[in-house]
Amino acid sequence: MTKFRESFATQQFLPPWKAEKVQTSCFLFRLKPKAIQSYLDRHFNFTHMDRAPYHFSARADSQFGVITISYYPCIFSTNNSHFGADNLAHTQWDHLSYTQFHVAIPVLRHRITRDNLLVEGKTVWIQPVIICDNSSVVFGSREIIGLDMIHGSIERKAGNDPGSLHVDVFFPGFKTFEPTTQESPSLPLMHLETGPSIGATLPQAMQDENSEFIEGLAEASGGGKGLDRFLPTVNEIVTLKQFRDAFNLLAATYQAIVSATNSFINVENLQFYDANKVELEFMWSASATEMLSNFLDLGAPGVGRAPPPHKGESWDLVGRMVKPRVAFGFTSDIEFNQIKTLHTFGGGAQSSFNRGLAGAIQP
Amino acid sequence: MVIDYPVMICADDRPLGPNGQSYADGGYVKQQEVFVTIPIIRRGINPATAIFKTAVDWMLPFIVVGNAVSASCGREMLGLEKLLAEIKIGDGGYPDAFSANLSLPGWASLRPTEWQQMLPFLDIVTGPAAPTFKGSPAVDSLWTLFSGGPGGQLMAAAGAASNFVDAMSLGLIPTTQHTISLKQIRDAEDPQRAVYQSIVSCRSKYTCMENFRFYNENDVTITIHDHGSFSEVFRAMFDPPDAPDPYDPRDRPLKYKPKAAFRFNSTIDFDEMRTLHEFPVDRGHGLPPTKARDDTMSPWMRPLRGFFGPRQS
Repeated sequence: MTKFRESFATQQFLPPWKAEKVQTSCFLFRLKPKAIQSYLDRHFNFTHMDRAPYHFSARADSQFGVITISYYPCIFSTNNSHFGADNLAHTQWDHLSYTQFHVAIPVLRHRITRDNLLVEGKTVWIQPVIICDNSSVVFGSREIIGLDMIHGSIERKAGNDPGSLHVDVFFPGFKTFEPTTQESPSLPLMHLETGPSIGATLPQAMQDENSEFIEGLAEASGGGKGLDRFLPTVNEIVTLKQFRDAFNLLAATYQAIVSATNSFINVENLQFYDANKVELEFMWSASATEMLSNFLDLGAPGVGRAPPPHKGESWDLVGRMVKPRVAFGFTSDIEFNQIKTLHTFGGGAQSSFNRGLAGAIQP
Repeated sequence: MVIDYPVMICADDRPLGPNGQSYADGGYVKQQEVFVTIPIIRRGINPATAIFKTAVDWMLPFIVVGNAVSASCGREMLGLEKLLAEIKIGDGGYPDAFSANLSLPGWASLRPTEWQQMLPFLDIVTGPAAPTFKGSPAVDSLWTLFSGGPGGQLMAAAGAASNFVDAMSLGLIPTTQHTISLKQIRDAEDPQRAVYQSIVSCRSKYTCMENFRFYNENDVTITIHDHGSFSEVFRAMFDPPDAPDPYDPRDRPLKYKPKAAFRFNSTIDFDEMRTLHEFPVDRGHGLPPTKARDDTMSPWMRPLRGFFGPRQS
């Protein structure tokens, strides 16, 4: 294979990665299957020169998304290659910390046989919205994995109540699309405040009220029982990795479906919040419209409530409340590995069948 | 070069936005940029291509921006190796003086326990604009050439002249900067391998140049912070006298005097993005190798080729 030409601007933070003591907070919310299917058809099920030998579809039963805020106090590359004038190993270098906000959605992937049958259904996760506050992570995730990650800022701190959480997410964007509007480097996108932690078990009444989401999460996360229903084990993520052509920016010079695995290890410190006491609000701006309308299916812009006055002038945007159904957090180690290119569009005679990958990704 | 863009507008008026709106009507961006640019000659490798494919290009071995979107766009569309930095541009302590401070995410040493943090990378500070009360420049200073009336007028007229030459020569005489970069995409499974590699070119055209200010080189100090993960950058560009201990986290500021220093205001058009050459890439995994494609051409030859040559798909 052709060697990538390294420089100091490209050599940081190569996958696979391992993170220790990651503090993850999850908030499940309802999503309409139609919105998800529309996203999947645009990003994975399209046909141009060829079609990928996979079909992605929304889950027919309990369709939900997970708003996730993760603080990575220690993440590092486990790539064994060496680089640079000092011939350093990536495992020796590349220690950093960052905070990430993303929306994860479980979907179904089927392999398409030569007879056009859908077989080997498996739940995989897509992440249509990701914001991260570390540029090395953003460049690595976008350019190698194909994640649509945006560099922004995330303020994550303790809330007003004991054990509570307060998160504000900002991203670069335009409040309105007008010729005289200046891009804001920190446009508010989301505000979240939980009530106090209610402990390591979810009261039965709350479980019964939201059993549809809890069972859906358990099924998508590996089908555990009891409290393990809430804890992820191994999640496969799929992305559309694509790069624009330099001459015609509306054309792609490279498109591929990439898969990677998030393995959660040493999961501990599970704690729940009362979902009814979680204030979760997205702020509507022109740049956020595609995320909020298309990906999160929050309707049309301009409909919502005025933001709370305590947020100040920079939060002068219309807010839209989202009702979380289940809210919990935990601490774990995470290994990000098993990265595979499932299909390269326009690859001619290649296909995942020829490469023997179909077997490798079977459930 | 340190550039402060107070207004940056996308000039593409095609309806590209989610509501059929053009990016040009969507708003404007501010950003600051610091880069090192080096002129190079791109030569053909046989007598024919030496005539028709030779050109003067500029490469950017180091470029950082303060705008995250600009960093991602530059990296992914053009292959520019932009890094995201914190850039502070100030006015120094004297009339028409200038200062810039640049910080980058880096590692203070290459010890396994070192953590990434925002570290000072480069500082530039000037005295007042010339002529100055702080002493005379060196006799071989560029400022001495342009400090007189005719020289200064020549510099101020250069922008208008370049417009005129460009218009009258139909672009046959190069008056602008064409930058080239290696655009490449890592393989997801094996990041040491590339699934795409090409040489990409784009044009930076400076017009409406005005408000030239020269600085006495003796009043200008460039400080580089030579330590940890930054050392390789400086070794590639400045050739410092000796390499620091890579495992010593202490900052080692090195001070330099430039050969010339000046500032000006201008309008910059950034356009004519092209893929000059796509390298054949062995992608492995049973995929067929990609084919080489070539569009290298001297700037003077390009319009003639476009007029008389075969139709390009």
